[in-house]
Amino acid sequence: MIRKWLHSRELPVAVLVVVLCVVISALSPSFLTATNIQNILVTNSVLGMMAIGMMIIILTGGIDISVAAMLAFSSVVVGNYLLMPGADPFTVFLVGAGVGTLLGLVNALLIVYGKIPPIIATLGTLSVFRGTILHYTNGEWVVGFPEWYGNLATAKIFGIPLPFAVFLLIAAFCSLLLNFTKLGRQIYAFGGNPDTAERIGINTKRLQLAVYVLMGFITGIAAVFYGSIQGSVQPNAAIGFELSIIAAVVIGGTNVMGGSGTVIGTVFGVLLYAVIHNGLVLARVEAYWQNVVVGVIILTVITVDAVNARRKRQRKAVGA
Amino acid sequence: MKSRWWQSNEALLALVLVALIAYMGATIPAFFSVNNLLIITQQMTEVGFLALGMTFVILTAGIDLSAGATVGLISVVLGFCLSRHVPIPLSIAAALATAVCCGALNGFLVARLKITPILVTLGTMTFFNGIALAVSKGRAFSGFSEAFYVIGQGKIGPVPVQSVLFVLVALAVWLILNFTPWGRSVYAIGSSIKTAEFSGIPTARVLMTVYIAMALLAALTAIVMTSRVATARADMGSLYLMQCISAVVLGGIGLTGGKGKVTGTILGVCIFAVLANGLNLSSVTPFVKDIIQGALLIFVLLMQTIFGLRLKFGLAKWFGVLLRKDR
Repeated sequence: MIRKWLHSRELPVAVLVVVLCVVISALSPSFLTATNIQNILVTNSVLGMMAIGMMIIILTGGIDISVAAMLAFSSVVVGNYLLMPGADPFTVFLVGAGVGTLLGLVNALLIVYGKIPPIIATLGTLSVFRGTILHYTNGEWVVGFPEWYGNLATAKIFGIPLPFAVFLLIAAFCSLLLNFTKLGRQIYAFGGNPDTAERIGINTKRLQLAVYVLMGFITGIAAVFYGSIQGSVQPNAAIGFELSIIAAVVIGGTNVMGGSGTVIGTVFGVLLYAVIHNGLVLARVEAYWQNVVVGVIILTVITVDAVNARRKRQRKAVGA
Repeated sequence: MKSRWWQSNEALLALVLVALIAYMGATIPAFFSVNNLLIITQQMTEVGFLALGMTFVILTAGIDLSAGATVGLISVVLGFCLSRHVPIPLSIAAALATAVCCGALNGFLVARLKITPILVTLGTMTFFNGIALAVSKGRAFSGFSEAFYVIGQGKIGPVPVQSVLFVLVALAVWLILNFTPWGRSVYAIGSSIKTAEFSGIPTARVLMTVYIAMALLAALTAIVMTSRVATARADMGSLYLMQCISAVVLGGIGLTGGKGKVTGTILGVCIFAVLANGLNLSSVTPFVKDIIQGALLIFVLLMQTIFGLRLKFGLAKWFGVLLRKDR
């Protein structure tokens, strides 16, 4: 058990998170303050929630590039709902989740029944979603929300900021789903080898539908917090955000070819991504250099992974 | 079943293109002028070069997400040199050298370390974009010497310079893919890299050159674009990434590799160019343009699925059976 943990893909990422935290807090006293930690957790909880959904899609060997557009779409609809008199905190989640689920369903239908490769189908829906919401709002911001909406981002449950608590809840739910339900095990089986999964009688269509719809659902929930954290909602929000999400999932050790990856790995991937960004800001690195650093880290992680995998294969080939 | 030419994907695309041109011509009076048609050829070159490069990459079952960022980086390098009055040939040489470096980095990670292309280029995309931002400090370079503007704004007779350039490059790519050992090995690698390896194709070397070729074509995009808009910025080309992948996929280049033709890519690029031009002329908001472009991509792919199904189970098969009985 311990040995398995030592050789796991999650451990190096977790260690890296801890080491980085120690280094940054040694360099900058403002890192380990309650406000800064809370700031990191809240601002990255949207990234985290969506990374979990994306991880499950990537487990099936698929990908969803339209997530950022779905986020913007849902948050604009949520924003418009909030401007109505009598909007209340419970319905707002229903609205967000409902819109997100519908958008996810569109992707799912195109991919499963239209048989369009996921990367292309979501590339198409990316422009359709984004274009629709831009056209509808005419590119204008939605502002002037009731006061309680802004408080959603700062509210606390047992001392944990609400958005981060929801992120943890989603992570726990998905972890249980993947490890202890039939559907979860089928997702791993399908990602590992779609043909075999089909032959042993797994309902691969239902499974793929579920995965993309779940992504939409999670995005809808995330959209509610997104607007609350930003304080305003704009149709042009989160352009390019899908790449940060995919990057966090990849750093967390999920194989983009499908079949392997864990929720806990993704959580560490998100934390690593978050800590790096925060550290760079605290270290007063010019904003222009941040992408260089993030790029180098992604490249390093995948290179180390590739070299390790090759070494393992060679060891197996030798017969040791 | 032997497929006929009119059942091919290129024929479907040509039909869509002709229908689109006819529709645009009928509804928009300004569409069918010589001047406007030449403008379309001018507008399609920048995405066109990238799409040709992406064709190479996707034919080997890869993908290059860093193509847009590469354009930005090369544009910044070019702008950096030109704005410091480095001679134009030398600046372009620097741009091409940067392209070779970018392509070689992608190629090394994909071919030698055997990492999935989508991962590699996701990383290098962030990396290249970061370097471009760091070099330019997020600002734009401008104020180049007049002679440089010829590439993106000049004309040979009535024809824009870059249109001529695009025709020549497209022809070269077509010849290379169809009539050289290198081109055939690109297809072979895409169909099955193992088989290619066992047939004695130096797969690593070919893959390496594929990514370098992609980057060189991105350099052409960067040079033409920098010259046309007379500025160089790090985010140039970022919009073109999705457009060029859309055009290539629309052109019928299979993402699983080994399938597709250069003519398909060019038709795909033409369709998007005609669409964009027509929508511009009919003064639709850019947002609706996004919707229509996305919807068109999905529509054509759905048609391909439906056609594929019909060929397998439907009318065509029944007709085939009937015909055979007659004989």
